[in-house]
Amino acid sequence: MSGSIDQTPYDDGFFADPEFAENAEPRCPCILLLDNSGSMAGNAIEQLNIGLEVFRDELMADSLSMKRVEIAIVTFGPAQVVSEFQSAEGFVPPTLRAQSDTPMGAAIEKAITMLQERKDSYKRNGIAYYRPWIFLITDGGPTDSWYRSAQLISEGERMKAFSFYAVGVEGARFDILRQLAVREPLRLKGLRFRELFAWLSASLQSVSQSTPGDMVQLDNPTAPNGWATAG
Amino acid sequence: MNKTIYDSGGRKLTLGQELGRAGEGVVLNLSDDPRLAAKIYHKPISQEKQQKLALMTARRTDRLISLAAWPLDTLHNKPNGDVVGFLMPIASQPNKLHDLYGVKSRLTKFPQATWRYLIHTARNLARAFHVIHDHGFVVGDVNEGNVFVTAQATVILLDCDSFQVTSNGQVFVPGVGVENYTPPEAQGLSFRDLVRTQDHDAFGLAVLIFLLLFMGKHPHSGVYQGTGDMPIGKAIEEYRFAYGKNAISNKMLQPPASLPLSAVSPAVAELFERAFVRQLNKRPRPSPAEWSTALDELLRRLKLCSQHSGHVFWNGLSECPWCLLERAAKISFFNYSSAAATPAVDIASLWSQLNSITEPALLPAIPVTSHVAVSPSPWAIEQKNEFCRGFGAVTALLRMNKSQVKVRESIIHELRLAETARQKIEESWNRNTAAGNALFLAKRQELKVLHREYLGLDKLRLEKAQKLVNDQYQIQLAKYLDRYEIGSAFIEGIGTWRTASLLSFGIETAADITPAALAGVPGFGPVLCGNLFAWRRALEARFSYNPAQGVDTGKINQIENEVRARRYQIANELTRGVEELRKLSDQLNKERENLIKVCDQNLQSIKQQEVDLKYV
Repeated sequence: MSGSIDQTPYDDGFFADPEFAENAEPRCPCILLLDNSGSMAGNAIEQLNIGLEVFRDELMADSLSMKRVEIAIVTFGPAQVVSEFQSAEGFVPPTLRAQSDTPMGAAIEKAITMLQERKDSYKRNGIAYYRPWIFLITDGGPTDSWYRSAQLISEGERMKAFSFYAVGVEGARFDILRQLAVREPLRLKGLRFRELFAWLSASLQSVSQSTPGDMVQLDNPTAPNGWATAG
Repeated sequence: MNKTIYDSGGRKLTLGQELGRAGEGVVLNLSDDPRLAAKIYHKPISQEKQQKLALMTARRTDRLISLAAWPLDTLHNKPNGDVVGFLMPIASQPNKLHDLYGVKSRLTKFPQATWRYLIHTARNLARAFHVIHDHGFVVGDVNEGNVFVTAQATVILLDCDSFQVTSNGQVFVPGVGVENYTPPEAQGLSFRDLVRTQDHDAFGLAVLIFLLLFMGKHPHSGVYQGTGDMPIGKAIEEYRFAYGKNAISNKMLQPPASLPLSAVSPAVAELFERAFVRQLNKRPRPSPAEWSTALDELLRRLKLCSQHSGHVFWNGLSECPWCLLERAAKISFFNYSSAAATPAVDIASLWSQLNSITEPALLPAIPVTSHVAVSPSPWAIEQKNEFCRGFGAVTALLRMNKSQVKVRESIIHELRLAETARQKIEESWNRNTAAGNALFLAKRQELKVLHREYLGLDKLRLEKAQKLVNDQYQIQLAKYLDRYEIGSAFIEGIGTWRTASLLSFGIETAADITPAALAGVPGFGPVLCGNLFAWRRALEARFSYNPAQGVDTGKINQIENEVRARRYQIANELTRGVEELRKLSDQLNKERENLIKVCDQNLQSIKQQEVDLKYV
């Protein structure tokens, strides 16, 4: 269904979203792109699910990031929006199941579209926001075409529209991840999803409590006691 | 595992439990003294910072200690060792400033805080800044996380070790800062060596006051009309105040459903303009003392909304701005006041008034003839006398014939008029008898139903709250299921068209899939329904209930608000209704009395004409 005439969203100039009226804090959007392809079956997907719970609990522990961090989840295998943007407060971690193939490219494109829509709604409502994060976790390589998504990522990074991070679990195609992401992909040590999400939460907290546009020094995840090594 | 530490005099102290954690250190309570807390840095601090802390402890005063977590003494790992932290009064409060200015968090953490409370807090914040400035210090790193708010709307300033201290010409700078509270002239500069001024503080203070008064909206966070992004830092640097007189020329619109600047008193609005708009005459920003005065004046000029006991506004406005705003935002900005849970209206007295209004007397059967004895009218007698006077019988007969016809015609004409009037009266009478007191009775019944509803509101509220607890599981489940859209799922047999027809019946997500809902959708037989149910069941199987989440306080408040709103509504309707009923009763009574009177006069008139006719 590709039409030649683009639709435009309805805007009567006074469209107020209640969620922004009751919480006018600047937002820090973060999209998790999670691989739930067949190869994640078993311990890996279980640990990932536990990691998501940890993520929520850590974010909830801080009252300001609770209001500022917004999470969305797109899974691939198949590419599907599992959770639309939610404040950390309203975020209920889904329980993911390992399913089919790994359409990573489609998932990335979906995530970038979602981010753009979210940013538009911030702008309409006069809500400030921090540079969004896209955080991809995979244990394989794309089974669909990913060249376009690589272009979108490098474009987005160049325009500072978002920061894209790729984390590979054992078995991930680091060669492709390196071509996808501008930043060096990270290699998860074992299945340390718990530590990964604790780090992600802490990083989003410090991002969301600096101010929009600020550069923030994050803890290095590849430090000896970190959860990753350089890909 | 209590740790020992030493104060500047070498006295031994024992650290207790952790109270909080900040970027650069941890705050612990002191086992020896419950009134004291210790901040211990994670990393060794510079000589300069050690010197600054020592200076601050030396310059402490009771006024400072009363409103800030002021360094009371330096702490050392060994007597006379390096400074590793400092001692301060314990200031732990459950809530920070952002918990108060954020609407959602305020409604649960300060459920009874009105705009008056917010202004009062802003006033106290200004006074706290004034004291800091009065002592020659600069706050420097102004931000929403640096301030505790007590239940009495007083504030306690935190992270005092980042204040700017000047001693003998040496300036100990804060070294940190937050962009949203940084004035235009300091935007983009590194905080590391930036020397702050009290005028810089004045900018941060104005932002915090704005956040408090304008429901958590930043003064520079608006809808930018130009192209590209307009982050807050840039907007501050370019003086793009989204609310002021110059907002439009700055291509800024204030966010939808936000309070206009005209909702605060002109004096307060003028201070905001001075704080956020470029001052050509280099006039300094409003000082804390100026804010205190203007906010105090605003506090004295507040009035209560007649429709909502939680709405307080500046009395220079004729209409409550919160009522308008709540309609636009589709949320509640304030809870109803629990002190005024019952409207000022006396429902019991209204009830007895309602019962004292008697049903209007019904009309009797319409009288057909007047019972008043009637003799010929003087006019008829005179006419008749005239016919007979001074004539002979024959001439009299002749003459009389001519005049008599005239008189008779005149009487008959009168009689016709009276009979026409009689017809009209009969119509009114019949109409009134047929309608009887239906209108009155319906209105009274309506008011009695309202009154019964009013009495049942408390029970309804309890029931609703109870149901909320019982439904917690269902709510969580529904919330979870509602995130799965049928359109984004892969369900056998459910393609674009079927998704669309489901949508037209309001079935959009897994939460909407119920036998009752599907029964109404044409074309969905057992197979398709089965597939949908199976999908929902599969999702349900993956759902895990979180008992720790408890009942959403927002939802409980929502019930409170709904019930209170209804209470006010009924009270108003009853007050109005009883008055209307009384009027209706009076009106009916008057109408009927009048009808009886008019009918009587008419019958008399008819009778008179008849008698006269016979007489002449």
